[in-house]
Amino acid sequence: MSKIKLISSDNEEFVVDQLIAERSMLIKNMLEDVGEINVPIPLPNVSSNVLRKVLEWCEHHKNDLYSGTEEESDIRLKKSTDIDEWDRKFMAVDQEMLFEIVLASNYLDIKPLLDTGCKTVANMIRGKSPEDIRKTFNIPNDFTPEEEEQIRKENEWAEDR
Amino acid sequence: MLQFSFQNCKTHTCYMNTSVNEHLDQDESFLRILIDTRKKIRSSYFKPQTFDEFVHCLARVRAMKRLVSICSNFDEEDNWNGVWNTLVVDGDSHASAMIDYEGLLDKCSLSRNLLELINDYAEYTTQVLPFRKIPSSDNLDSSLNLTVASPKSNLYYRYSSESPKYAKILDCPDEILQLIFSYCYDASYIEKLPFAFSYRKQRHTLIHDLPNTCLRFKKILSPRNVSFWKRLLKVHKKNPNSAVTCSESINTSAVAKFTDIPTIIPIFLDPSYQSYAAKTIHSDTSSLASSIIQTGDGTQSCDESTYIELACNLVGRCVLCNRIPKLTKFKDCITSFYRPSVATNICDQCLEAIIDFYEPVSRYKFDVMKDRLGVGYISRPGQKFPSWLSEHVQLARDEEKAFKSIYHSQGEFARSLFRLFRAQLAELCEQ
Repeated sequence: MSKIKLISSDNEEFVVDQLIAERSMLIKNMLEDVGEINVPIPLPNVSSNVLRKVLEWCEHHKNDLYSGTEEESDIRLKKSTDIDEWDRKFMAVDQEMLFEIVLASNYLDIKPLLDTGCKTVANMIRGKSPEDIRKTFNIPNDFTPEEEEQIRKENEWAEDR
Repeated sequence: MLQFSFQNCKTHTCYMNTSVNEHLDQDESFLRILIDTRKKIRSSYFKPQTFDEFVHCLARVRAMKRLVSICSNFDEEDNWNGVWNTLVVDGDSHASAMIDYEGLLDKCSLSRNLLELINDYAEYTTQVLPFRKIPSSDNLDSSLNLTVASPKSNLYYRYSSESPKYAKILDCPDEILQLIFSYCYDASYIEKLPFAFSYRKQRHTLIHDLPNTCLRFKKILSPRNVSFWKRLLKVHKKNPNSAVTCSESINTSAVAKFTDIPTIIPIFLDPSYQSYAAKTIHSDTSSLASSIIQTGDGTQSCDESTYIELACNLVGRCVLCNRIPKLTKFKDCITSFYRPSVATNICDQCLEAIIDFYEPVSRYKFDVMKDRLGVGYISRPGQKFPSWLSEHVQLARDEEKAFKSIYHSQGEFARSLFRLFRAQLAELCEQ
């Protein structure tokens, strides 16, 4: 099995099987463009600790089939709460790492990992009120007083009178 | 330090009077009933003497703020009670308790529910009843101060501001956020209890909550983001379970046993309503396009029809005339169609009809409204304040629910809070 060398943003070197590395469409396309596999591939947007996690996921899912068709994507969307047990444990990380994984999978173009990350975030969102969502993700409330008033008006039942 | 104030009843009565005067008739006897009722409800809870009374206070606070949705998280198991017990077991020295308490806030991830309970109670005891309207900085102390622990106070933000690492969702580009939001589409969502005068239905995160979180989310989830909604609508239509609007299958057996189901149908046998309906309600509801034209008020465009169609499929049609929601000039769309006060979807025209019928009755037959119908808030479109005619019925229901939750799952914590309260009260008396 051919080995590929990946360089993280903090210059750590990872040597992985080509099969595993090619879960990333970005790397796969790069390899095809370059035509040889001995050249180290720099990944300036992915730090070593995140890349390690991503490669762990790629290793586990190296034999998965993923067509990437719209139909398959729709099916995944319908089953939005379904996350594989292994993936669930894999995603049981702090929020910082979770979003790093999401961003890295987007950059590396690993759609199944991106989907899993987004599903995990969606599961954290679902069922929460706007205020709870803000608290969970530390999102500032940037509505103007007028907009807040409008929202409050729409939710007047929640107010005490 | 806690500072409880029982001095604001007067302010309260003024507030009530203003509200009443502004929004109801000047019928003196009726006004007196309303004012007395509210006054009695509130004044009886200002000085709890026993633990049971205290829990009722907490429950009342919960009910007053309509915290049904938060109460759904209220039964969470947590191990905080033990910590709190050790904290206050040494006696009633609230000063030491407060120091430890502050330390605890720093050290452990305080259950948000408990934090909110404290906030609610502090807010309640300081009579900060117009929620969110009191400037939170007025009495702020640099140390932890429960007195002003309104939702925007230091106590509230301490929790989040000390966790700066949770700031990453906004680092995601819009494309990723759209993907995340699309996964918030819940094919298994079922509109629960879509029956007037029962408990309100479950909110749909994608439609009701996410757009009200921040401006960026609101923009992404705008009805004009056609491609996003089109994609979801396509998926939704492919799903045989969710394609049917739930308003067509009302399950009355699921209504809570102590909720009287009102006889809503006879209302519409009233001749005045029938003539009204004949004039206004279009019989053809099968076509989305025709419904949009019928209900349109000139503020919606074709671009938004995808959103409307998905939204009405997700959260239903008007339960009375079966029409889809429309956009209004006040609001993008669906939430103005859904009436949380009566827990169902009612279009503007049907709502007008209901109010036209109910209002005269409700003004002069208060007991009927209260005991038999249990009507909650009903607002006319654009009306600033909802009618709060039988608010206490709704309050009683919510209070009962909150009381059980607090008593059974947060009992120890509530006892500790009560001891703290008594200690503060004693100190105030000494002063």
